[in-house]
Amino acid sequence: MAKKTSKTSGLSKGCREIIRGLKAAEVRVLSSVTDTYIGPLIAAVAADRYFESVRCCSEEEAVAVAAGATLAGKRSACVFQNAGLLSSGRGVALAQTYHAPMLMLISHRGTHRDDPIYYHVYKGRTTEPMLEGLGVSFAHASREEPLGAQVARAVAYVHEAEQPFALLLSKGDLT
Amino acid sequence: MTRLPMRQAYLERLVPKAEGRIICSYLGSSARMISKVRPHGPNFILNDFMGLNISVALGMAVARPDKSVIVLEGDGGLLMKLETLVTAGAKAPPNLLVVTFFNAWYITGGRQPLPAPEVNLEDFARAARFPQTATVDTLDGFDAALDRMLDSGRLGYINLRLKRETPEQVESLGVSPPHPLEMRTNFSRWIQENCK
Repeated sequence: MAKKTSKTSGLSKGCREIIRGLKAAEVRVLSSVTDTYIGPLIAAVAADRYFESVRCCSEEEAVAVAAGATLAGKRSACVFQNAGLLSSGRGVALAQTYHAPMLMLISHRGTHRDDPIYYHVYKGRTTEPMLEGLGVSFAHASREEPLGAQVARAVAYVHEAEQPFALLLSKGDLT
Repeated sequence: MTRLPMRQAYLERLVPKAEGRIICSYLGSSARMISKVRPHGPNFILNDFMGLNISVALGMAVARPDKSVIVLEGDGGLLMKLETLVTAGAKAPPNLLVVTFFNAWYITGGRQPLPAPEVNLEDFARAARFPQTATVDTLDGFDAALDRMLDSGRLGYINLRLKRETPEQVESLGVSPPHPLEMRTNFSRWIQENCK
Protein backbone atom coordinates (compact mmCIF):
# COMPACT_ATOMS: atom_id res chain seq x y z
CA MET A 1 0.00 0.00 0.00
CA ALA A 2 1.30 3.45 -0.90
CA LYS A 3 2.47 5.60 1.98
CA LYS A 4 -0.10 8.26 2.78
CA THR A 5 0.73 11.71 4.04
CA SER A 6 -1.20 14.89 4.59
CA LYS A 7 0.12 17.10 1.83
CA THR A 8 -1.73 20.12 0.58
CA SER A 9 1.13 22.36 -0.54
CA GLY A 10 0.74 23.28 -4.18
CA LEU A 11 -2.99 22.67 -4.08
CA SER A 12 -5.33 25.39 -5.20
CA LYS A 13 -7.12 27.42 -2.57
CA GLY A 14 -10.42 25.87 -3.63
CA CYS A 15 -9.18 22.31 -3.14
CA ARG A 16 -7.66 23.19 0.23
CA GLU A 17 -10.94 24.72 1.29
CA ILE A 18 -12.88 21.60 0.26
CA ILE A 19 -10.54 19.38 2.26
CA ARG A 20 -10.84 21.71 5.22
CA GLY A 21 -14.63 21.57 4.99
CA LEU A 22 -14.70 17.78 4.67
CA LYS A 23 -12.53 17.41 7.75
CA ALA A 24 -14.55 19.95 9.73
CA ALA A 25 -17.65 17.91 8.92
CA GLU A 26 -15.91 14.63 9.83
CA VAL A 27 -16.27 13.09 6.38
CA ARG A 28 -13.97 10.05 6.42
CA VAL A 29 -14.74 8.20 3.17
CA LEU A 30 -14.47 9.82 -0.23
CA SER A 31 -15.22 7.88 -3.43
CA SER A 32 -14.29 9.39 -6.75
CA VAL A 33 -13.96 9.31 -10.49
CA THR A 34 -11.51 11.82 -11.83
CA ASP A 35 -11.86 14.80 -14.16
CA THR A 36 -9.53 17.64 -15.13
CA TYR A 37 -11.03 20.02 -12.57
CA ILE A 38 -11.05 17.65 -9.60
CA GLY A 39 -8.01 15.45 -10.20
CA PRO A 40 -5.77 17.42 -7.81
CA LEU A 41 -8.42 17.23 -5.09
CA ILE A 42 -8.71 13.46 -5.50
CA ALA A 43 -4.93 13.04 -5.38
CA ALA A 44 -4.70 15.13 -2.23
CA VAL A 45 -7.44 13.15 -0.50
CA ALA A 46 -5.82 9.86 -1.50
CA ALA A 47 -2.56 11.02 0.04
CA ASP A 48 -4.15 12.16 3.28
CA ARG A 49 -4.28 9.65 6.14
CA TYR A 50 -7.42 11.24 7.51
CA PHE A 51 -9.47 9.93 4.60
CA GLU A 52 -10.32 6.53 3.23
CA SER A 53 -10.22 7.13 -0.51
CA VAL A 54 -11.89 4.80 -3.02
CA ARG A 55 -11.08 5.47 -6.65
CA CYS A 56 -13.92 4.03 -8.71
CA CYS A 57 -14.26 3.00 -12.34
CA SER A 58 -17.68 4.60 -12.77
CA GLU A 59 -19.61 7.39 -11.11
CA GLU A 60 -22.61 5.25 -10.23
CA GLU A 61 -20.26 3.01 -8.29
CA ALA A 62 -18.86 6.04 -6.47
CA VAL A 63 -22.35 6.97 -5.30
CA ALA A 64 -23.02 3.40 -4.14
CA VAL A 65 -19.68 3.17 -2.30
CA ALA A 66 -20.44 6.41 -0.49
CA ALA A 67 -23.90 5.05 0.34
CA GLY A 68 -22.40 1.88 1.80
CA ALA A 69 -19.97 3.86 3.93
CA THR A 70 -22.63 6.13 5.34
CA LEU A 71 -24.97 3.19 5.99
CA ALA A 72 -22.12 1.67 7.99
CA GLY A 73 -21.98 4.82 10.08
CA LYS A 74 -19.12 6.81 8.56
CA ARG A 75 -19.71 10.15 6.91
CA SER A 76 -18.98 10.06 3.21
CA ALA A 77 -18.82 12.10 0.06
CA CYS A 78 -18.33 11.34 -3.60
CA VAL A 79 -16.72 13.52 -6.24
CA PHE A 80 -16.98 13.29 -10.00
CA GLN A 81 -17.73 15.24 -13.15
CA ASN A 82 -21.29 16.07 -14.15
CA ALA A 83 -21.12 13.74 -17.16
CA GLY A 84 -21.08 10.96 -14.58
CA LEU A 85 -24.24 12.24 -12.99
CA LEU A 86 -26.07 11.29 -16.19
CA SER A 87 -25.13 7.65 -15.69
CA SER A 88 -25.64 7.61 -11.91
CA GLY A 89 -29.38 7.88 -11.61
CA ARG A 90 -29.87 4.48 -10.01
CA GLY A 91 -27.06 5.07 -7.54
CA VAL A 92 -28.65 8.33 -6.46
CA ALA A 93 -32.04 6.62 -6.19
CA LEU A 94 -30.42 3.92 -4.05
CA ALA A 95 -29.10 6.55 -1.64
CA GLN A 96 -32.53 8.18 -1.51
CA THR A 97 -34.40 4.90 -1.02
CA TYR A 98 -32.17 3.76 1.83
CA HIS A 99 -31.84 7.22 3.38
CA ALA A 100 -28.09 7.25 2.90
CA PRO A 101 -26.92 10.83 3.32
CA MET A 102 -23.92 11.91 1.28
CA LEU A 103 -22.39 15.00 -0.21
CA MET A 104 -21.92 14.87 -3.96
CA LEU A 105 -19.19 17.22 -5.14
CA ILE A 106 -19.73 17.60 -8.87
CA SER A 107 -17.50 19.46 -11.26
CA HIS A 108 -19.88 21.46 -13.39
CA ARG A 109 -18.54 21.22 -16.91
CA GLY A 110 -20.13 22.64 -20.04
CA THR A 111 -21.16 26.07 -18.82
CA HIS A 112 -20.96 29.08 -21.12
CA ARG A 113 -18.38 30.62 -18.80
CA ASP A 114 -15.98 27.70 -18.40
CA ASP A 115 -16.46 25.22 -21.25
CA PRO A 116 -17.87 26.64 -24.47
CA ILE A 117 -16.87 23.46 -26.26
CA TYR A 118 -19.42 21.29 -28.05
CA TYR A 119 -18.54 18.04 -26.26
CA HIS A 120 -19.00 19.61 -22.86
CA VAL A 121 -22.13 21.61 -23.70
CA TYR A 122 -24.58 18.74 -23.12
CA LYS A 123 -23.27 18.33 -19.59
CA GLY A 124 -23.92 21.93 -18.67
CA ARG A 125 -27.34 21.79 -20.28
CA THR A 126 -28.50 18.62 -18.51
CA THR A 127 -27.01 18.81 -15.02
CA GLU A 128 -29.65 20.88 -13.28
CA PRO A 129 -32.65 19.19 -14.97
CA MET A 130 -31.12 15.82 -14.07
CA LEU A 131 -30.77 16.76 -10.41
CA GLU A 132 -34.28 18.22 -10.38
CA GLY A 133 -35.65 15.10 -12.03
CA LEU A 134 -34.00 12.91 -9.43
CA GLY A 135 -35.27 15.12 -6.64
CA VAL A 136 -31.77 15.94 -5.41
CA SER A 137 -31.31 19.29 -3.66
CA PHE A 138 -28.31 21.16 -5.01
CA ALA A 139 -26.50 24.48 -5.02
CA HIS A 140 -23.78 26.18 -7.00
CA ALA A 141 -20.76 26.95 -4.90
CA SER A 142 -20.75 30.62 -3.99
CA ARG A 143 -17.80 32.98 -4.34
CA GLU A 144 -19.16 35.06 -1.47
CA GLU A 145 -18.24 32.61 1.27
CA PRO A 146 -15.26 30.32 1.92
CA LEU A 147 -15.81 27.01 0.13
CA GLY A 148 -14.87 25.01 3.22
CA ALA A 149 -17.78 26.49 5.16
CA GLN A 150 -20.14 25.65 2.31
CA VAL A 151 -18.91 22.06 2.23
CA ALA A 152 -19.27 21.63 5.98
CA ARG A 153 -22.77 23.11 5.92
CA ALA A 154 -23.78 20.86 3.03
CA VAL A 155 -22.64 17.80 5.00
CA ALA A 156 -24.68 18.96 7.99
CA TYR A 157 -27.64 19.36 5.66
CA VAL A 158 -27.45 15.84 4.20
CA HIS A 159 -27.41 14.30 7.66
CA GLU A 160 -30.41 16.31 8.77
CA ALA A 161 -32.27 15.47 5.55
CA GLU A 162 -30.96 11.86 5.33
CA GLN A 163 -30.64 12.45 1.60
CA PRO A 164 -27.89 13.26 -0.91
CA PHE A 165 -27.07 16.84 -1.76
CA ALA A 166 -25.04 18.07 -4.74
CA LEU A 167 -22.63 20.99 -4.60
CA LEU A 168 -21.78 22.09 -8.13
CA LEU A 169 -18.23 23.31 -8.58
CA SER A 170 -17.06 25.53 -11.41
CA LYS A 171 -13.51 25.81 -12.70
CA GLY A 172 -13.03 29.01 -10.70
CA ASP A 173 -14.09 27.32 -7.48
CA LEU A 174 -11.31 24.77 -7.81
CA THR A 175 -8.44 27.06 -8.84
CA MET B 1 -22.52 -34.79 -14.06
CA THR B 2 -22.54 -32.99 -10.72
CA ARG B 3 -25.92 -32.40 -9.18
CA LEU B 4 -25.80 -28.72 -8.31
CA PRO B 5 -26.93 -27.52 -4.87
CA MET B 6 -29.87 -25.20 -4.41
CA ARG B 7 -29.40 -21.61 -3.25
CA GLN B 8 -30.93 -22.20 0.17
CA ALA B 9 -28.54 -25.05 0.88
CA TYR B 10 -25.59 -22.78 0.14
CA LEU B 11 -27.00 -20.06 2.39
CA GLU B 12 -27.56 -22.53 5.21
CA ARG B 13 -23.87 -23.44 5.00
CA LEU B 14 -22.92 -19.77 5.00
CA VAL B 15 -24.98 -18.57 7.96
CA PRO B 16 -23.16 -20.41 10.78
CA LYS B 17 -19.83 -19.11 9.49
CA ALA B 18 -21.23 -15.58 9.15
CA GLU B 19 -21.90 -15.04 12.85
CA GLY B 20 -21.02 -11.43 13.65
CA ARG B 21 -20.34 -10.64 10.01
CA ILE B 22 -22.28 -8.22 7.83
CA ILE B 23 -24.10 -9.87 4.93
CA CYS B 24 -25.08 -7.65 2.01
CA SER B 25 -27.54 -9.41 -0.23
CA TYR B 26 -28.88 -8.59 -3.63
CA LEU B 27 -32.52 -8.74 -4.64
CA GLY B 28 -34.86 -11.59 -5.53
CA SER B 29 -34.53 -15.12 -4.26
CA SER B 30 -31.38 -14.50 -2.21
CA ALA B 31 -32.97 -11.49 -0.51
CA ARG B 32 -35.99 -13.53 0.51
CA MET B 33 -33.93 -16.51 1.61
CA ILE B 34 -31.41 -14.60 3.68
CA SER B 35 -34.31 -13.01 5.55
CA LYS B 36 -35.53 -16.52 6.24
CA VAL B 37 -32.29 -18.32 7.15
CA ARG B 38 -30.83 -15.39 9.10
CA PRO B 39 -33.73 -13.25 10.28
CA HIS B 40 -31.82 -11.37 13.01
CA GLY B 41 -28.23 -10.94 11.88
CA PRO B 42 -26.64 -7.79 10.45
CA ASN B 43 -28.15 -8.18 7.00
CA PHE B 44 -28.36 -5.39 4.49
CA ILE B 45 -30.61 -6.33 1.59
CA LEU B 46 -30.49 -4.16 -1.49
CA ASN B 47 -33.74 -4.52 -3.32
CA ASP B 48 -33.59 -3.59 -6.99
CA PHE B 49 -30.48 -1.55 -7.97
CA MET B 50 -28.99 -4.58 -9.70
CA GLY B 51 -25.23 -4.57 -9.85
CA LEU B 52 -24.60 -1.98 -7.14
CA ASN B 53 -24.42 -4.38 -4.22
CA ILE B 54 -20.67 -4.96 -4.40
CA SER B 55 -20.13 -1.19 -4.35
CA VAL B 56 -22.34 -0.76 -1.29
CA ALA B 57 -20.49 -3.59 0.46
CA LEU B 58 -17.12 -2.08 -0.52
CA GLY B 59 -18.20 1.18 1.11
CA MET B 60 -19.16 -0.70 4.26
CA ALA B 61 -15.90 -2.65 4.29
CA VAL B 62 -13.70 0.45 4.04
CA ALA B 63 -15.82 2.28 6.59
CA ARG B 64 -15.62 -0.62 9.08
CA PRO B 65 -12.25 -2.31 8.69
CA ASP B 66 -12.80 -4.16 11.98
CA LYS B 67 -15.89 -5.92 10.62
CA SER B 68 -16.09 -8.72 8.10
CA VAL B 69 -18.41 -8.05 5.14
CA ILE B 70 -19.80 -10.80 2.93
CA VAL B 71 -21.56 -9.62 -0.20
CA LEU B 72 -23.92 -11.84 -2.18
CA GLU B 73 -24.42 -10.85 -5.81
CA GLY B 74 -26.28 -12.45 -8.67
CA ASP B 75 -24.79 -13.33 -12.01
CA GLY B 76 -27.10 -10.94 -13.86
CA GLY B 77 -26.39 -8.11 -11.45
CA LEU B 78 -22.64 -8.54 -11.65
CA LEU B 79 -22.75 -8.52 -15.45
CA MET B 80 -24.55 -5.16 -15.31
CA LYS B 81 -21.66 -3.62 -13.39
CA LEU B 82 -18.52 -5.64 -14.01
CA GLU B 83 -16.38 -2.66 -13.16
CA THR B 84 -17.37 -3.12 -9.51
CA LEU B 85 -14.99 -6.08 -9.41
CA VAL B 86 -12.17 -3.92 -10.74
CA THR B 87 -12.73 -1.22 -8.13
CA ALA B 88 -12.98 -3.80 -5.33
CA GLY B 89 -9.90 -5.62 -6.61
CA ALA B 90 -7.93 -2.38 -6.70
CA LYS B 91 -8.96 -1.29 -3.19
CA ALA B 92 -8.67 -4.87 -1.93
CA PRO B 93 -10.16 -4.50 1.54
CA PRO B 94 -9.01 -7.53 3.53
CA ASN B 95 -12.38 -7.80 5.27
CA LEU B 96 -14.50 -8.25 2.12
CA LEU B 97 -15.65 -11.52 0.58
CA VAL B 98 -17.63 -11.46 -2.67
CA VAL B 99 -19.92 -14.44 -3.33
CA THR B 100 -21.78 -14.73 -6.62
CA PHE B 101 -24.68 -17.05 -7.40
CA PHE B 102 -24.36 -18.40 -10.90
CA ASN B 103 -27.29 -20.17 -12.50
CA ALA B 104 -26.99 -18.38 -15.84
CA TRP B 105 -30.54 -17.18 -15.49
CA TYR B 106 -32.58 -14.15 -14.41
CA ILE B 107 -34.69 -16.13 -11.96
CA THR B 108 -36.99 -13.44 -10.60
CA GLY B 109 -36.60 -10.98 -13.46
CA GLY B 110 -38.59 -12.61 -16.22
CA ARG B 111 -36.98 -16.06 -16.12
CA GLN B 112 -34.68 -15.52 -19.05
CA PRO B 113 -31.15 -16.82 -19.69
CA LEU B 114 -28.10 -14.61 -19.40
CA PRO B 115 -26.96 -13.21 -22.74
CA ALA B 116 -23.88 -15.45 -22.37
CA PRO B 117 -24.80 -18.47 -20.21
CA GLU B 118 -21.29 -19.96 -20.51
CA VAL B 119 -19.53 -16.87 -19.17
CA ASN B 120 -16.96 -17.59 -16.45
CA LEU B 121 -17.36 -15.04 -13.66
CA GLU B 122 -14.29 -16.21 -11.77
CA ASP B 123 -12.18 -15.22 -14.76
CA PHE B 124 -13.38 -11.65 -14.31
CA ALA B 125 -12.44 -11.68 -10.62
CA ARG B 126 -8.99 -12.99 -11.47
CA ALA B 127 -8.58 -10.34 -14.14
CA ALA B 128 -9.61 -7.75 -11.54
CA ARG B 129 -6.68 -8.96 -9.40
CA PHE B 130 -8.64 -10.58 -6.61
CA PRO B 131 -5.91 -12.30 -4.61
CA GLN B 132 -7.95 -15.45 -4.02
CA THR B 133 -10.81 -16.86 -6.09
CA ALA B 134 -12.78 -20.08 -6.43
CA THR B 135 -15.66 -21.58 -8.34
CA VAL B 136 -17.50 -24.30 -6.47
CA ASP B 137 -20.41 -26.57 -7.28
CA THR B 138 -20.78 -28.54 -4.04
CA LEU B 139 -21.69 -27.64 -0.47
CA ASP B 140 -18.48 -29.11 0.87
CA GLY B 141 -16.57 -27.11 -1.69
CA PHE B 142 -18.28 -23.96 -0.44
CA ASP B 143 -17.41 -24.85 3.16
CA ALA B 144 -13.78 -25.32 2.23
CA ALA B 145 -13.63 -22.06 0.27
CA LEU B 146 -15.22 -20.14 3.16
CA ASP B 147 -12.79 -21.67 5.65
CA ARG B 148 -9.90 -20.72 3.42
CA MET B 149 -10.99 -17.14 2.66
CA LEU B 150 -12.84 -15.83 5.70
CA ASP B 151 -10.39 -14.23 8.12
CA SER B 152 -7.55 -14.82 5.67
CA GLY B 153 -6.75 -11.13 5.70
CA ARG B 154 -7.20 -10.93 1.94
CA LEU B 155 -10.02 -9.97 -0.37
CA GLY B 156 -11.79 -13.06 -1.68
CA TYR B 157 -14.19 -14.18 -4.38
CA ILE B 158 -16.31 -17.33 -4.55
CA ASN B 159 -18.53 -18.17 -7.51
CA LEU B 160 -21.29 -20.65 -6.63
CA ARG B 161 -22.80 -22.77 -9.35
CA LEU B 162 -26.33 -23.64 -8.35
CA LYS B 163 -29.54 -25.19 -9.56
CA ARG B 164 -32.31 -22.85 -10.65
CA GLU B 165 -35.38 -22.57 -8.48
CA THR B 166 -38.72 -23.23 -10.09
CA PRO B 167 -41.27 -20.39 -10.05
CA GLU B 168 -43.18 -22.37 -7.43
CA GLN B 169 -40.11 -22.59 -5.21
CA VAL B 170 -39.55 -18.84 -5.46
CA GLU B 171 -43.21 -18.17 -4.75
CA SER B 172 -43.23 -20.50 -1.77
CA LEU B 173 -40.56 -18.49 0.04
CA GLY B 174 -43.27 -16.15 1.14
CA VAL B 175 -40.92 -13.89 3.06
CA SER B 176 -40.80 -10.33 1.84
CA PRO B 177 -37.57 -8.48 2.51
CA PRO B 178 -38.01 -5.68 5.04
CA HIS B 179 -38.89 -2.17 3.96
CA PRO B 180 -35.74 -0.10 3.30
CA LEU B 181 -36.34 2.26 6.18
CA GLU B 182 -36.91 -0.58 8.65
CA MET B 183 -33.82 -2.39 7.45
CA ARG B 184 -31.69 0.73 7.52
CA THR B 185 -32.86 1.44 11.07
CA ASN B 186 -32.08 -2.09 12.27
CA PHE B 187 -28.76 -2.11 10.47
CA SER B 188 -27.74 1.27 11.93
CA ARG B 189 -28.64 0.03 15.40
CA TRP B 190 -26.42 -3.02 14.94
CA ILE B 191 -23.57 -0.80 13.74
CA GLN B 192 -23.94 1.49 16.76
CA GLU B 193 -24.00 -1.43 19.19
CA ASN B 194 -21.22 -3.48 17.62
CA CYS B 195 -18.72 -1.08 16.06
CA LYS B 196 -16.21 1.24 17.67
